[in-house]
Amino acid sequence: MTFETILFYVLALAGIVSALLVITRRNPMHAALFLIVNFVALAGIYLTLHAQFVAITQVLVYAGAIMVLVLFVIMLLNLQNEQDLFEKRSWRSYSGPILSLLLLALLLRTVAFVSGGSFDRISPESERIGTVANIGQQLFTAFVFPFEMASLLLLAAMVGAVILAKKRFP
Amino acid sequence: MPDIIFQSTKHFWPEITLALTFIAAMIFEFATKKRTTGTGILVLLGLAAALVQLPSAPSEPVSIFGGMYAIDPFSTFFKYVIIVTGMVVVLFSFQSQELKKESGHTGEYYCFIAAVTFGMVLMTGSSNLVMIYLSIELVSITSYILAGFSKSLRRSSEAALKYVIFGALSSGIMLYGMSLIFGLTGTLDLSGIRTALASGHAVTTGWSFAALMAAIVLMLAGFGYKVSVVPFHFWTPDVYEGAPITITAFLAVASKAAVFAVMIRFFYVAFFDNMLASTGVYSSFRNVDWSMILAVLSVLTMTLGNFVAIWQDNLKRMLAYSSIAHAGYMLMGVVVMSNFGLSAIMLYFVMYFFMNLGAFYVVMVIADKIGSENIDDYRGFGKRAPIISVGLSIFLISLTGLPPTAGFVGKLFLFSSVMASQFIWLAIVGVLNSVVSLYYYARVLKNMYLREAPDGDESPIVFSKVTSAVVILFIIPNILLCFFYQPVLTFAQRSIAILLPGL
Amino acid sequence: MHHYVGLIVLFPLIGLIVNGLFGRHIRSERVVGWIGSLAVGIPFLVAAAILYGMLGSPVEERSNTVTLFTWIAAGSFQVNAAYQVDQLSILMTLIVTGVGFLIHVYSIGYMHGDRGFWRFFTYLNLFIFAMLNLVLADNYVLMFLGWEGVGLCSYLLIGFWYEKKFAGTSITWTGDAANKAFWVNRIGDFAFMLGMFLIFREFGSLTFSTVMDSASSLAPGNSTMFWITLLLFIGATGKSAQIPLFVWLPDAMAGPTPVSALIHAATMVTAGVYMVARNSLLYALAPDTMMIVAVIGALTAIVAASIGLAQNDIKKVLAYSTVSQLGYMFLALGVGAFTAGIFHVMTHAFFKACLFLGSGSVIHAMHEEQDIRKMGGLAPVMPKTYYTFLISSFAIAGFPPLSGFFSKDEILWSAFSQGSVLLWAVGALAALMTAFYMFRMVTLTFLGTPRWAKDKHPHESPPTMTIPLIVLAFLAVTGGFLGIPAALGGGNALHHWLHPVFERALDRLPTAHEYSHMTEYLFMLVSVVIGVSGFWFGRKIYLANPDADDTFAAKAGGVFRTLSRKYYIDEGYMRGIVNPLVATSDRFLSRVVDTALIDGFVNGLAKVTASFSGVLRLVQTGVVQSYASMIVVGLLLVLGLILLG
Repeated sequence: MTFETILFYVLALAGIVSALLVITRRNPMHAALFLIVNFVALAGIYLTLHAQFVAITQVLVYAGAIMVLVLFVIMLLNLQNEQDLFEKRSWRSYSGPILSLLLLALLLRTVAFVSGGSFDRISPESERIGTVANIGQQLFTAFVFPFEMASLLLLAAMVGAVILAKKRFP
Repeated sequence: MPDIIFQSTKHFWPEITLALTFIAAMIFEFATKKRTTGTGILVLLGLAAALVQLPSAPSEPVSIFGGMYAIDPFSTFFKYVIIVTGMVVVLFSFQSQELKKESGHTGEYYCFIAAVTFGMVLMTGSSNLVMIYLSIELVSITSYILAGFSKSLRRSSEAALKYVIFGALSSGIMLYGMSLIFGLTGTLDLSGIRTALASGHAVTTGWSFAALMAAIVLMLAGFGYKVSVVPFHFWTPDVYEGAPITITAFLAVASKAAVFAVMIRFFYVAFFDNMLASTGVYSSFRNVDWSMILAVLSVLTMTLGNFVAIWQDNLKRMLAYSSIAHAGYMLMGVVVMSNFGLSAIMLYFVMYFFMNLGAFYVVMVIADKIGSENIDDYRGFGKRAPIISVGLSIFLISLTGLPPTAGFVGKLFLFSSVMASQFIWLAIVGVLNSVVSLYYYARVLKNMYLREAPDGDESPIVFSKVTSAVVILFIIPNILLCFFYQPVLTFAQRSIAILLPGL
Repeated sequence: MHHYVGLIVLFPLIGLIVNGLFGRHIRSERVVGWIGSLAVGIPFLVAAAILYGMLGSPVEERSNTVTLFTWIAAGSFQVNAAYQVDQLSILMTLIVTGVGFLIHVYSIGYMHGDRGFWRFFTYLNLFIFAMLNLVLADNYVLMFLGWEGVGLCSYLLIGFWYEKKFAGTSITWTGDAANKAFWVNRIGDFAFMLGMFLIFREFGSLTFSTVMDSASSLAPGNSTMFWITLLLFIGATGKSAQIPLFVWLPDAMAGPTPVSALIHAATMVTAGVYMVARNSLLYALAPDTMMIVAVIGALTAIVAASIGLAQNDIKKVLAYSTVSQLGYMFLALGVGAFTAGIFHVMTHAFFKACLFLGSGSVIHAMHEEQDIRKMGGLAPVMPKTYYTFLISSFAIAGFPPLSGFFSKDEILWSAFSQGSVLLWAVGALAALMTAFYMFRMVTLTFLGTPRWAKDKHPHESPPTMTIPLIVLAFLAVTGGFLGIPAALGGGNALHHWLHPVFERALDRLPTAHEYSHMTEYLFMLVSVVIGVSGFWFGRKIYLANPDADDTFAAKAGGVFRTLSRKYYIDEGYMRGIVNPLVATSDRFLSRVVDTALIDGFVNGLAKVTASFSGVLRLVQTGVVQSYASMIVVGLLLVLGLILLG
């Protein structure tokens, strides 16, 4: 039982619990906050995998930018009556969790045992791969083309978002 | 590294042209506020410029940007279809009343057409999992925006929202599949994956193999979503009905073409071994019966598309289901896994282009004229608008697959390829489905020619000369291609041969 | 030269397209009429040119095949749109286009003022097109196309005046007559097709040359050959109105007279004769069938002639006369005198067309009156019509040196020398009747005192109508000189011309007994005597007493009535065949099989589809969450199938 293992289990538990709480809270604010907890937990897991850049980006982008946006929207919507949002308990609301569990089971069965079922070893390569320096280098040499294309994607998304959201000028 | 980039840009000019068109159009839109048609013309010119550069593409496959992007006749074929579709859609949009209502930002509409076209073109050549994902995302995001463009219509926003949610879900699933593949093979490059699999690197233990199969299925989910394969098709009727009709037309033709291109490339380059000499059919590693799975999906898609279309009253929605059904037919060609099948798909796309765009155009002009897309409101059109009715009739007959139209030739080759590979039951199902499709297409014909207009109105509905000219322009290839399909077929066959050597 | 055969077929096609599409809008009848006529006239010139070329070339090179394109290519079965230009087909082509041209010109005058003028010429051109395909085809399939085509045109043209009533047997409307023609022909066509199938099965090909080449290695008396030839002959009895399928021809007189002249005298009805002649080799290999052909031909000749004795409609007399003359042609073919049969086709075309056109002239002049009992004394009023009619009557009765004499005599001689005395006797008796009824008709129509109604003012017809009459009469006089028999010192040019076509067949026939020229002269004399007696008695009896028929009816009532009622054959067919068939079709097939079974099945299928899809569409709920669930379900299923299957 190394420190890393304990850390992993704690973070994993935090992640799962917070995820469950996100989908079961009535108050959207609470749900959003729990989502932030989930993201941070995931960031922690990334750190245990020596993926520093991804971890930081996770916190910065997801927990920082995206969740702030989500919180803004929730506040703007200004829901007074949360009762309206409630979904009746029909077969539909039960089928969701059940199907998800089935999918999880199936995927676990296939994916989980790939390297002989043991997951407590991390490849020694990971220390080299996850560093900012390495990512930066890859991004500007081998993956420079997707990098540039992604910029176009962002441009399109930005302009599109503005178009969809703006009111017409009189 | 810089050398690679400079070398690669030589072959990348059509795409660069498209990207520049997108940016230039946006700048133009900023600079000149009210000149929306101007932006449209600029985009049209940009697309045309990209188109004229296509014939000078090398006839030998070239891999540029370090294995990220591939230029070969196979992708060039699809680029033709996509860019021409884009140009045609821009031309249609000039006439669309729906868009004129959104006068505030019609200019951006054209910019986004350029962007979507760029994304689709990028898809046809992507040879790396990252590029595949990026290009699909580019197309998806711009499609979301374009689908929701008619902001004044509630159904447009609803369509966009459903599209976003669904698309996000499917992208996520696909990305997960990609990550699994990366984990199993250690590389993101398609040929690299092939090498890894061939050397047995990934397929050592049973579990690895299972994981690989799961990963492929997940990616299939992603591709299937974009092509509207059952059971990933649910967004299609709502989005096609809600989006502006020009966008529906664009999505129905070009988006499918691009995704089929990338899907074929993905499956065949990465996962399939060389042809079995006797049957001309590719075998996959460890002989997973992909054909059966794909065949089942194809049957489900065809059946659902055709059967549910029977009940539709809204012509746009009906055409949406019909495009689902056509995706099913095209999937049959993938099932076959041979040169014949693939070239049949490519041929079919050309035919599909003409008949589908024609049909959507007519629906658009009629909707602009009488304000309705309901089939019942088409009654009596045969007498009142003869040229348009004849055009729609020919397009619908072509969609059914009856001679002497282009659709017939397309279906003929698809079914032939299926039968040549011993999938006779699949061909039978396909033909039966075509029979069912005749019903709902003929219903429109029946309304147009055999029913009186509801208020007994016999006055002619006058469409502009341009409209009639466009309709005739689409009718002609529909008939001609029934007889002169050989050049297209030869081009398709050669492209496939080059893409998949060892044939 | 023969390369131009495509033009022969092309011009009628052009004519029919032009008249068919634009005829309605062309104001001038003249233009429409001449388009139609030239569409037949030009092919005549082309055919003449080809003939000229053939005359100039050696015998071996006279037969050629010109292929236009491959029509059917399905596996090893290939049929070309190809034309066989040989002595026989070019002769038939000349007859069809030549007589056809004259009749087209005649129609310009005859159909003047008719509402469907342009339609008439379109159909005529279509007919010529089909007929030319029939006679020029180099394979059974193309011939059958023409065969069916002429049947169709026959239907269209018989029923041309579709609103008119017509007093036929069990028929009240013109349309019914057209239908009758079509249905009866259909029976024959069915037999023809069966024959074709057998030929294909036996020889593996449907091209004449291939079939004939293969057949030459067979021995006579083969049973397959018997069936093939019999079936083909049944087809011929339909098209060429022989027993038992001749009943449509008299009712076909409902159509306009030019139609009767062209289709039901000169050309279409001879298609059967041509077909048998074309298959001469096959018939030579089946002596039993040939005997059947001869017997039926002879029987038809006499039965039809006897019926003609008691008819009062001018066209009906000519119709039965046609049936009778066709019987002669088959008699000739049946005894192996192929050339004689074709010779009679040619001469018959000339004089029968002239007779029909002449009768049309009379009908026109008498304002649609067709009962000869109500005519009489027309000769001074319409001299051109009278004289041409008279000449043609002499020709058909067999007066030398007119064409009819040579051709009919050759047939009768062959019936005797290659057949039997009995056949000759029947033929001779029929010839007597022919002469008699012809001159009965001539007398009642043109001679004696006028018996027509007060409101009729007969007059001679315009030149567009009389000139063709004159030309045809001239041909009726001179046409015979092509076939002057050796006995009379002639070279029988026609026989030599057609000999290469029939050579292989003739080789396989049993050698005929050689008779001396004296015997032949004797028979010729008998023929002449027969002709003259018929003329004499016919003229005498009816000139003296136009109502002589009533006397006959009184004295030999039963016989006369039977004859005038055409032996009750039509009634027999109706009761025995048609009515039961209609009853079965209506009560059983239509109600039970069609409505209940088939419709029920198809409708049921549609209902199942509709309800299935009705359920299926509920899947599309519009709720995004359910979409997501269904994706997951789909994924689960696919994954499950792969991983666990």
